[in-house]
Amino acid sequence: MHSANAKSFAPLPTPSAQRFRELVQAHQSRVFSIAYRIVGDSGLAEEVAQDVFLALSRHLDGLQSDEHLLAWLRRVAVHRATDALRHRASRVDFAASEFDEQRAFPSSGRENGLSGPAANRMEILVASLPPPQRAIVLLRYQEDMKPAEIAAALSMPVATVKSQLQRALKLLRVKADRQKMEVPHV
Amino acid sequence: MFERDGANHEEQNFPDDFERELQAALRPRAAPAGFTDRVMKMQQVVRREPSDAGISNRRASLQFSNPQMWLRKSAAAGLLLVVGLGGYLQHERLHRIEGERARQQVLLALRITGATLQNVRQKINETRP
Repeated sequence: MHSANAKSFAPLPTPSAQRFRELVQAHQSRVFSIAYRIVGDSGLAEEVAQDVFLALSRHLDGLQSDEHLLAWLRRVAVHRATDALRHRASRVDFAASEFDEQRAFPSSGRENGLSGPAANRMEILVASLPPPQRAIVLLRYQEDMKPAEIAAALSMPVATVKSQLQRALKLLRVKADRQKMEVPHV
Repeated sequence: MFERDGANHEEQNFPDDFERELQAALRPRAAPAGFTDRVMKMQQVVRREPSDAGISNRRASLQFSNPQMWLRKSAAAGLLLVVGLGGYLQHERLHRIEGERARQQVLLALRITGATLQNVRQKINETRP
């Protein structure tokens, strides 16, 4: 009679709680990754992701379809992570160039099929982008969204998304080339 | 050229190596262990709160839903008002007494001055041939 998930709670889960748990499990990786790659800190990213899911629990009834839900999660994750980054920046002078690589991205790569340092290098390069471009790059390459979808998620014109994406890629290429010249054996 | 810059590749996904490398590096990573359980526990706590504002709203609604607390607060406010008003009236009364005393002193001084002038005038008249 007890489901596998019921053991962690004293009361038996209601259907809505069970549904919510399934949604968290299905989307936690996506939401956490967006938050993590925007804020660059695992603890803060978890706080942001928790915040997003708590907001989801309040808005769940208004979300009619899976597509709607996914778009909502992406949009809210980007906005909350950007807000968290802004709040932290107002407290400490934080710069992506000062990232401690081991602390910020300790084990990326292995699970991605890329070698660890190569994936890590890419994540650090993305982290060095200005926050709006970072969010656009994440939605494009992590979430595989088209520019029109990104524009809708971030409430900005498609032309702006395209130009920001173009600019971000150009910047990333320049930085990657510079890194290759500095460390030719990597 | 545009495809290389990532702007016009809506149809064909990531045609160049750099973008494919970027996509591979940015695959979603696993959330920390126990994340779902923590969210579920937090959600249960939040569900008990009446709104986003949570504690402060609940505190405010408790204050007005508890008549004894409301009565105590009203009595305290009334007492404060009475003490404040009494202090103000007492201060006004002392101020008025001070004013009256000062007025009396000024009148006395004028009377003394008037009497002295009268004496002087009298002496001048007496010494005049």
